Amino acid sequence: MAIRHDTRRRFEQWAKNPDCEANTISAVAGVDMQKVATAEGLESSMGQSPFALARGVTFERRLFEDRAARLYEALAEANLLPADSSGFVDFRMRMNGGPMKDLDSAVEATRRLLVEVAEEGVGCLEKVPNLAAAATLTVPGQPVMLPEGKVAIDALLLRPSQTDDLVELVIGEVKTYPFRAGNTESDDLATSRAQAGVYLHALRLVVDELDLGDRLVLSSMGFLVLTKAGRNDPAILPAEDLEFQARRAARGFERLRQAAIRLDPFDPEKEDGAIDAVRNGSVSYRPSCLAFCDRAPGCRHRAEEAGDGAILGDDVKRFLGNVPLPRAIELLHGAEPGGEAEVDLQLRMRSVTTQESA
Amino acid sequence: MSSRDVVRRLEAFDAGGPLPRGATLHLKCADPEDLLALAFLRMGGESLPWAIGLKKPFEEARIFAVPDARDRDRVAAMLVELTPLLAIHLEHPQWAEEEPGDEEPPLRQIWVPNGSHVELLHMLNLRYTFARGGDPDRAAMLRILGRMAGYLFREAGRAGESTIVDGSAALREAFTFPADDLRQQHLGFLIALLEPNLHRGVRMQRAEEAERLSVSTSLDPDFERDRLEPVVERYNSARRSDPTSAARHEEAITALLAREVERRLDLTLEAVRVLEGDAREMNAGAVRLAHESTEARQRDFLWLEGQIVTSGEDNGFFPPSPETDRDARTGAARYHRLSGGAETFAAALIHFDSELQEDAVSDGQAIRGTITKVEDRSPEGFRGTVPVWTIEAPSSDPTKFRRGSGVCVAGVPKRSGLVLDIGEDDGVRRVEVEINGWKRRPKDESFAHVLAAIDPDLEGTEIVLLSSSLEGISALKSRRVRDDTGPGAWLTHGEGTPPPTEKADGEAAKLLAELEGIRVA
Repeated sequence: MAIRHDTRRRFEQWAKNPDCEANTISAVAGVDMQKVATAEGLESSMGQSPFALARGVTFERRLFEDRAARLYEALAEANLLPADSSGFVDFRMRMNGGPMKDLDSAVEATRRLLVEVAEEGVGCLEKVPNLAAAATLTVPGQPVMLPEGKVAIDALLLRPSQTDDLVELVIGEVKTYPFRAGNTESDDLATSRAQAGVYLHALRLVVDELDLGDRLVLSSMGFLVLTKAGRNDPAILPAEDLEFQARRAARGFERLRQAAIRLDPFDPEKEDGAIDAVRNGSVSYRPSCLAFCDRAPGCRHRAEEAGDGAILGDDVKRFLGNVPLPRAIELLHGAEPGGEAEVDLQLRMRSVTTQESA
Repeated sequence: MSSRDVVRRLEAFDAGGPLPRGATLHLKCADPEDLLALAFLRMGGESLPWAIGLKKPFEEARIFAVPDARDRDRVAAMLVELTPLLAIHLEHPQWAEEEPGDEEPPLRQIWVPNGSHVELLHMLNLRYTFARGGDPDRAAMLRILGRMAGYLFREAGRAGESTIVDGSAALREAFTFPADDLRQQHLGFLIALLEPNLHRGVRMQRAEEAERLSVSTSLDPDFERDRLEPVVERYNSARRSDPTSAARHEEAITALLAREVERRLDLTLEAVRVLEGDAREMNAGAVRLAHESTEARQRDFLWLEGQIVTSGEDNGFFPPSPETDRDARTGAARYHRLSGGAETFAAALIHFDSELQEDAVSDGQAIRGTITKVEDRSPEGFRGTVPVWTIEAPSSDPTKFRRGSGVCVAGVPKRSGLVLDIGEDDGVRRVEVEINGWKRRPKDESFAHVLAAIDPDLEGTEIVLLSSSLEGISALKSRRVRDDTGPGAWLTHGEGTPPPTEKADGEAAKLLAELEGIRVA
């Protein structure tokens, strides 16, 4: 079956609703939820605009063309690279406009670059490229059910460390949404930081695995490359603290690994079996699922039938606890509560309705 | 979301449809000739508009579109066409036919389908406020659009304003819908739920159908891929080689986009119709807020535009930057004004809405009780009165009032007082309040029913005491932070001379010694 290789995307999908077993199976096995939705007779609702995809490709191409001249200029302006920095190495695959024939080649080339700068120290920055596109890493230590643990860092800076003679690596994430100063969409920024945090976590794992930890400095301050509103020029957000997001990624990968171990075994290489495994997993519907999961409309209908308070929002779900909606309505109308939870719920509902009836 | 809101949502779910929220309407709709619906469409991944629609109630829509939103020149040309129409609606001085008279200017309102359209105004603000390139006249026109969009975007962030209205937010303010917050962002979904006389199943089915159609600035990706992308490609192929064919494709693109824009405009005006048809009374506070919005338009937009029309753009009058405050005091003043918006909004409405008052009572921010005693505690020889009321309320209600809390009487904002004492006994909370504002019978005719604070007939009256309005504090702070004459202005505003540091004598020396003494103690 077509395993999705984008570990970061699978991880982020899982992180959006880690309580949903079906979502966990989908992330672990790399099963596309669109296929699960199709198998359930649902129409896909997560399509992407062809223009938006093209815009992303165009922006990235322009950013890295002429040996990344445009990006270099913006990075120097943001004081992220010394003015005398130079050199660009492209680890993107051919399908993305780069020279690499496959992911394995990109991983190997990235590894060689890391080893070289670690061994030679800051002196090598004059001869090695100071900017790498799509530095690709294999996330080590994952169980068999995450066979393709690979991530590609959009932009990786190599610059002298401020404290010693080592090379410092700085992670950058490229996005095409516009920079709107303090009004930039906070959800978009949070997602971008989370993604960059996954890269930092992966880079730490790889550097440890190569035993280069004491010869490379990994900056926990990354940067985001956005667009300027109505233009194709990059806008750099230079001081993004990724430490918390990297720790979140470390915890998340561990939780995902534990979740994978607990799952009933199935053969992820057999598509029908994997899809069935997702379909048979229990679901935990949240309204926010509609924003990322093709299967969410079906889950919502099931939640409606089950009287799940989540269909009225997360706050209602929290307020009701495990009491189903129809029962909550009965309690609202004065039905005799049948347990501590129902007594408590009825009291809380009465405390805000007595004024009205008074 | 408060517990009360959760229960309201449960009640709406039980009722099978939306329920009115609030006993009054909290937004004043402008007269039809002063109301304009505005909607944008964006090409996926682009931040500037692909198509724009304007529509007034009972009039035909005006649609502007370009064949490819990646063609920046065509987009700019489209926006140049839009600028005067928006500017005239906002009474921009450059298009004024006559000098403004003494009569009160009308509330000019712009309605958009949802928040994404407000965000697009910010994109225009960011892109064009300082536009310089190309034809100077075109650039000047785009700068007007940038400033206008900036004003509208900033104003949209001020709670309680009535100039730029997000249609879905306006409906959410007026009704409680039985759906999660995410779904409630969709104007079509909300309007379908509001359709009267439908069985709950049918209503929900229609709402689900409605929410499948996008109302934001983005188009449905399938629609873009299947319908638009092929025509846009054909247009781009034909553009240089076959103008006739390109024109035909352009027409086809415009027709597709126009349908989408018109649907958004119609939904927006439907939201206006729903609110105008609502039987609830208009909250008197909302009328005041509408008036203040007009004042804000004159102060924050038209004044600067007037200066620019008179003196030119580079003569000491600068539009607010979309990216930074530049001048710290201006930024601070604006911050206080915006952050005080929610306070002003709540304070303006609560006096005239019993449901909002109930919310405040449930939250402990108000007390509902009965006046059991009215006394005059004026000291001997004092010519005035010192009315003190004893109010009894159930002690089961939460309260955040303490001795010294400032209060005012719901419905009579200027009748204010101070809590002298508060205690509980046998399930009864007794609050003693000294009335210090509007002690006499008000002369204002709209408050003719209000007795003097000392009138014994007040005994037995049920009242709601609200936390005294902090309204005005933010406005005061906003003015104060701009003031460059106060002490320390040399430090905070870079104005005036700093105090001498080497030697102080006379009063200054005494003051410094005193300060040092306090510091040491």
